[in-house]
Amino acid sequence: MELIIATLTNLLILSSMYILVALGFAFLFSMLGILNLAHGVIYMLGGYIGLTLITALGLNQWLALLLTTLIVATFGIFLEKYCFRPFVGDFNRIVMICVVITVVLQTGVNIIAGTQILSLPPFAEGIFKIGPASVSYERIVTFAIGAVLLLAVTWFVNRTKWGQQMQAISQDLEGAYLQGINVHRISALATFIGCGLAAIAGCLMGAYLCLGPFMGDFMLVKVLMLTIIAGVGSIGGIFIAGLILGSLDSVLPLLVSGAASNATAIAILVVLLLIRPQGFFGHEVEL
Amino acid sequence: MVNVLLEVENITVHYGKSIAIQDVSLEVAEGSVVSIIGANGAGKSTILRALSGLTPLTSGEIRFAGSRINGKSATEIVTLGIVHIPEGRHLFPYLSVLSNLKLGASLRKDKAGINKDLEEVYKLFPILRGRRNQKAGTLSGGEQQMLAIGRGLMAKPKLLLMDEPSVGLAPIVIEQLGEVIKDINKRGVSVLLVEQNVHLALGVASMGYALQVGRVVLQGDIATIRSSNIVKKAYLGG
Repeated sequence: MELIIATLTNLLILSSMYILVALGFAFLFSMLGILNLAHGVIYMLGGYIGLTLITALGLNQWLALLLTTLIVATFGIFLEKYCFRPFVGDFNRIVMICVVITVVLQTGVNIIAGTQILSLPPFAEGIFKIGPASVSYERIVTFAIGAVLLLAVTWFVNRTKWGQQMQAISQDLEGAYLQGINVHRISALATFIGCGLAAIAGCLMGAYLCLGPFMGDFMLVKVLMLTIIAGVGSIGGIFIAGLILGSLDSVLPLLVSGAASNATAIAILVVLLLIRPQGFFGHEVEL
Repeated sequence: MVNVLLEVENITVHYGKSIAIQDVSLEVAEGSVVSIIGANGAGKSTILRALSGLTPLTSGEIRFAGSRINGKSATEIVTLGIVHIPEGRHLFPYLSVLSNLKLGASLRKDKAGINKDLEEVYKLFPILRGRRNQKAGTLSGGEQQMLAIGRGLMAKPKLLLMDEPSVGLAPIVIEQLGEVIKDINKRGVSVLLVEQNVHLALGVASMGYALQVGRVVLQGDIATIRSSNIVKKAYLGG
């Protein structure tokens, strides 16, 4: 019983964190074709900034979470304006820029914080009991934050004017320009939101698991797999793909071994690329 | 003398090193329908792309209601009231018909006015009301063209640029399209129509321009265009 509940909560938490990070990546990719390989280090950066604000400045951790989100999201606007926008359409250059950002940030954090494994203090303490079962409040809070954010983003994309404009840009860029949609402003907004979400996920995962300078690489691989399984342009697909990856990562390590979950996910990916290159839920590729 | 709404003066546009249009001048009077005809690759679409700020000019000047607009962004041009309905429609295929129409009003803030115009569009194209929750990509070709026009009207244009609206439509739908263009014009919107379908183009317009390999080879009122040898030979079968 304990094990089942622990696995189930782990599944939900991992899935929601994967989806949180993947959304920002998917926004940029589907709107302007920007393959933001630096999204993993942005997630890592979020965790470390959160930790610094809490330990070095002694801030309340909720305040630190909020501040971290704003700082990293603003950094996202800077990235979009100076690193991505000038090179939209130039795939090679954007990949090179992302590699540079990744190396600089990773090395920077490595030098300043060291390679030791750190972690943020938990966002909630205590244990919640129902009958024989028990769950730590930390897990409940972590999942709750993730779920609320995901609902908020879904609402934003589907129900607000800016969200509709984001979808319009990703479905037909020229059509979007001709409606007078300010494409630059909307893509800056999407980057702001995406980086903010990644930073929140970084802080939450830093408390739930731990922080390391290379945690971003691990997450980037998950995000890439998730986006490929989901297909481009489908938010629902990202949710389902996130649940699939989260399930694999929480269940398989129990049954087989940690390495097996990655191997299985990659096997699914390879099969998928062979039979359905546009992803499970993506739109048909238009030529 | 009617006011000139749009003046295009000697514009030249290059795509890379190759010239797309050269020294093209044209005028659209307020409240009129003007057609540009010409074969594939004559540069018709390029003129419209230059007007809506998608393609930069090499030289020349474009004035709208007296002030210079070349060099302005696509967003600013829509704000001024120039709305471009592109060739191939460029709808948002996975959004609903209603969302597509609302996105046409992206730059407007007057909620009441938007709703009123939405009703107008539904009145003009009743079929869209019935399909408002359907995804735009699932509509038929004719319905998609109606949606593209409706979306353009949602921006409250003063000048509507229409690029090959008849492409891929059945003859009967093209006839309806002609009526729709006249109807839109009656509501006070000036129209610059680019068409390969000469019957449609000459049927609705009062003025016409013929384009060949990036240059204007003929201009004048519709009677002049109709009776000219170039047009007769090339399009109307002698």
